This record gives sequence, structure tokens and C-alpha cells, in this order.
Amino acid sequence: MEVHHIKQKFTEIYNKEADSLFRYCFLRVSDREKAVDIVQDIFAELWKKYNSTEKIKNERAYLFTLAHNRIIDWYRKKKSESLDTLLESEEGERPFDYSNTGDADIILSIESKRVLKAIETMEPIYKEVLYLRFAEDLSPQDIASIIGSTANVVSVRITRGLEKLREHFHTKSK
Amino acid sequence: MNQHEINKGINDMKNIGLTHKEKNQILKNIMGMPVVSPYAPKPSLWNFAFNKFAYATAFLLIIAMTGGTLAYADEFSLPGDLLYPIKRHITESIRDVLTVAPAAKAEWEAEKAIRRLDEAEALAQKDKLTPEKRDRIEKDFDENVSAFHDNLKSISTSTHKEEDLNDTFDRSIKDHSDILSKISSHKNDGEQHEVDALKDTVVKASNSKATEDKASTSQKDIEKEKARIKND
Repeated sequence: MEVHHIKQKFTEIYNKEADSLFRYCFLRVSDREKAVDIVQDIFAELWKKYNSTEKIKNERAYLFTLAHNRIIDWYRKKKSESLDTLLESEEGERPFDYSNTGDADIILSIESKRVLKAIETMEPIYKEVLYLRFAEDLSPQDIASIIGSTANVVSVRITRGLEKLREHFHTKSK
Repeated sequence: MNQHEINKGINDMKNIGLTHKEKNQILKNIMGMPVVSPYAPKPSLWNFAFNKFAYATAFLLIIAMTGGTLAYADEFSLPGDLLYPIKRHITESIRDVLTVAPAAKAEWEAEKAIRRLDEAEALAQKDKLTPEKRDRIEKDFDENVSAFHDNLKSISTSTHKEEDLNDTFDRSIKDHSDILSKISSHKNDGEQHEVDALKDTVVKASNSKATEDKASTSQKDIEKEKARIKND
């Protein structure tokens, strides 16, 4: 593959995925600058892969897996949170700071804040799968590869999580 | 909250994204990374000699070998000194590449602007502030001030970092304006002219900043009011 084709392909995926990865990181770390740093770090990793002979089967899942791992690393580095707490919460979850979207151009609607707040009240095992499934439109298989689980487990978590979300809003499906 | 509202809440979350500037900056930083591609044509020795990263690598090796003495020394160099090009084109360029986040970039641009004023003051005190050096310093200072303000615009408004950086920079500019006045009062006519001309540039930067602040505050008030009405 020629160099300009690599650049073109990389730019395409960057333009397609940068915002959703930033959103995912930002809602997890609640720090705009840190989220920007993580996004750059992730795409730098992808750029290295593009410039190697290694092939990536599913780029979107690969990018979210990197983001998932970088976020966990970030929490582990934070002195204020012990490793024990992180391990107990399975994936090192941190509450969404839904009240702070951090940019003048971004104003979350009341509905978004309520959905995020509802997701925040849920058990850690449901939070991330629900967010990835519905906000980022990832398939159960992709989510499974991101969080290191199986597609069946993810599907069950999505179904139960959705049920809990509806219960939260008293809008149980018929 | 009904199903429609839940769906709307999920869809509205997708409004969160990078700013246009952040997006371009990240891509630029990544494309500038020194990654050796097996697909890339092999560079000639001539090209390598002029490669920016080759200079950076060589410089890092020199630092490693000289225990950082050179890097430390070049930080104190002034325009016209032997080590000054290393300070401007290598040491500062490395920090340009490594600084990514808008707040950190703004802070670094402010630091560079103040560095230029420190250099001008040191030159003036040694009677070495020639019109050429003053002109070069003014141009660099203006560029740094402009880049500082551009980066401030990309900073999150909820963290108050923008205001903090603005206040700190404003205070530094005023301090340096006072220092230049004091230096000018001890100089003869020819040297005084150069120092006063530089001081005018510094004062101008401070005044244009005050005007921008006023406009930006009004715009923010409008945005806050819009958000309040929307949320009500």
C-alpha cells in the first residue's frame, strides 16, 4: 500500500471515529483535556499499526478497546483511588460527571442529563455496555471484545440493563 | 420520562465532540510523528540530515552525553548568542510538539511571549538591543500572543482555566511593561527609542486583550442566557 493511501485511509477513520471516542473518554474521565490526550494517544497507536505490517480486523472495536484500557490505566495512576476499589468495581468505573460537559459549544439537553444520571445509578456491569450499545451503536460482539467478555454475556447485560433503565423511568415495555 | 424522551437523551449525547481546532491539531500531531513505515520510500542520507527529528534525536543524544549542561546553558542564551538558535529551534520546538492540550499550549505560548520580553530586557540592559533584534523579538512576541489567545478559545469554559491563564498573562505583561519603563528611563536617546518601541508593542498586546475580554464576556453571557432559557 502506498504512503498516501495509508494517510487517506487513516484520515477517513480518524474523521469518522474521533468524536465518538472523545465522547466515550470524556464521559468516563470528566476531564476534557485528559480526554483529548487519550484520543490522541489512541490514534497515535493506530497510526503506528497502519505503518506496520500488522492488520486490524475491526478498527472501531480496536479503537474502543484501546480507549477502555487507557481509561483504566488512567484511573490506576490516580493516587486518590486505590487499586482495590478499581478491581472491586470490575472495570474501574467512575461516575459520569453529566453536569460538566466542559465546553461552551456543548450543552447537554435535560433528557441526556437524565439518561446519564439514570445510567450512573446502575451497577457497573451495565453502565458501559448500555452506553456503548446505544450511544455509540456498537454491536454486542464488538462490546464483548472491548470489555473482554463474550457476546452472549454482553447481550444479557444489555437486555437486563435496558430493563432496569426502563424501570428507573417507569416506562416498562409492554 | 417516556421512551421518546429516553431516545432523545441518548441521541443528544452525540452532540459532544472535539472542536474543529482540537481535531485538526491531533491529526497534525499524529502525522508529524516519526513513524518508520515499511511502505515509505527509503530516505536518502541527504534528506535525513535535514529531517527535524534527526536534529531532535541528535540533540537528545548530546543532552545525554553532556549531562544536560548544553540544554541548561541554551535556556539562558540571548539573540545573537551561539546557543540561541538551539534554544529557539530545538529546545522550544520539542516543547511545541510535545504540548498538546489547549490549556497547556496556551500556557506554553504565554511562557514563550514572556521569554521574548525577558530576552529583550536582558539585551537592553547590556546595551545590545539593536533595531533588528527588537524587530525580531516584537514579531515573535506578537505571534506568541496571538497563538495564546487562539488556544484560549479552545479551552473548556467550565474549568475557569481560561480566566486564570488570562489573568496570569495579563499580570506578567503589565510587570514587564513596568520593567521596560524603568530600563528606558536609564538609557540615552537612541537606546531609549528601541526600549520604548518594544514597550508600545507590549502595551498594545495588553490593550487588545482587554478589548477581546470584553467581547468574549458579552458572548459568554449570551450563551449562558441561551442555555438557561433552553433548560427552563
